[in-house]
Amino acid sequence: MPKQSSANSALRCIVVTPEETVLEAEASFVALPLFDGELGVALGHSPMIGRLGYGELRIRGADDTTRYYVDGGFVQVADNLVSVLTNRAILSEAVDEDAAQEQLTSALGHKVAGEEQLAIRDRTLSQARAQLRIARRPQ
Amino acid sequence: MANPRELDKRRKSIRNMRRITRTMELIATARFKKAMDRASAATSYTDRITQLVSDLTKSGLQVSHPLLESRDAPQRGKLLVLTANRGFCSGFNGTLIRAGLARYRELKSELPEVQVEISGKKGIAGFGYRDVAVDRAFTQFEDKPSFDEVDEIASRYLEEYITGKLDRLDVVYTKFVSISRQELTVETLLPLGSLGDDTAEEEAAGAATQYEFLPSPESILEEVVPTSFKVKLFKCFLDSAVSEQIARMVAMKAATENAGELIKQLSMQYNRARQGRITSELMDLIGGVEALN
Repeated sequence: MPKQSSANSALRCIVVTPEETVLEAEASFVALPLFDGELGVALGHSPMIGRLGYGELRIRGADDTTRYYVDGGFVQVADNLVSVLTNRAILSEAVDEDAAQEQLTSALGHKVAGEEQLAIRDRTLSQARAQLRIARRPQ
Repeated sequence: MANPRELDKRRKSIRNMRRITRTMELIATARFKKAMDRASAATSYTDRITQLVSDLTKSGLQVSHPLLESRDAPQRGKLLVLTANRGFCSGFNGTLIRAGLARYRELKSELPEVQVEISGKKGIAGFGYRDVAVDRAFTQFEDKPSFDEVDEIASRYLEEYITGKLDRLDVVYTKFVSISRQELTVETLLPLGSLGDDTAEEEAAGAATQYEFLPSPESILEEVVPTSFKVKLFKCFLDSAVSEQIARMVAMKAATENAGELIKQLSMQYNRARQGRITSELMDLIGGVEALN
């Protein structure tokens, strides 16, 4: 592990949405739902900017793990600071399964024409699927 | 000489008015504080986005995105005017409507097709009065616009822009500069002229960190551009909400002070009239006694 020059000796995680700062805490390990798969960040990670997908953000603290559903966005890792910028961050327990199911079925039934609209539908679909996945995960 | 009873009645009604304006001032103050908190909470996000964009550009990436380029022959324009749902905020709505109409005429002369969307009852009424067709109206934005609501509108604009149904979007709103200064602003949000406002200035500051981009800088850029548009629009709504409360606060403070002054004046008139009446009655009495002697 490369030695960090900065004084930050602990990993900090900040989750911000346009409305508020959802979380600002120390963590031992952060799992990020990137656009194309999960990525784990521990202490001393190299600087990185990543695009988030729809999925679950897990922040392992000293003795418990906080889980959030994040709705796309970005992550920036530098100097042991993980900044997560997302449109929405909901606690995993609060994800509404019924609403997600409804979104999924309505998106599946929606007819599209053209590439742009297809992309928009795909986005809605993956959003709904990710929420369902989190809501149905056995506790 | 004025009738003292009449003066007293007026004084009472002004007192009631003062009580109302005073309460409204207090309410506006409380709402302003809340709106202000929300606006400052949002800055944390915008700052980080700006930081991210500047890091992105520092990596030598050529910034190009359909949302950033202006169209060669724009056909369809859209004007969004952010006004308030309520009055009692002095010139706040009036100036917005006036600026909105001016911009509307300008756009109309440049583009063959212009749509108007307005947020706030006062703006809708103002444009309706001047016979301007309003295509869409929003009244759900009060002092706490939520990102989800703005996101819905922003996504619709983006979709229209990408599919070619929209070539230009102008927003008329009141920008919050400081508590003592709010500026009327007319901004073109689509096409986005540039990402972050001050990317160029920050270029020199600090040693650049070498970032790793996942999955790729292009993919991130593809997402950053729509997001920064949404955030910009959200900021417009927030600024507008804060400015409205400030305008109302100032207007109501002035109204309260004015009412106080009126009461003082009327009290003086009333006292004088009362004294005058007593004096004249005494004069009558004395005159009668004199006559008897």
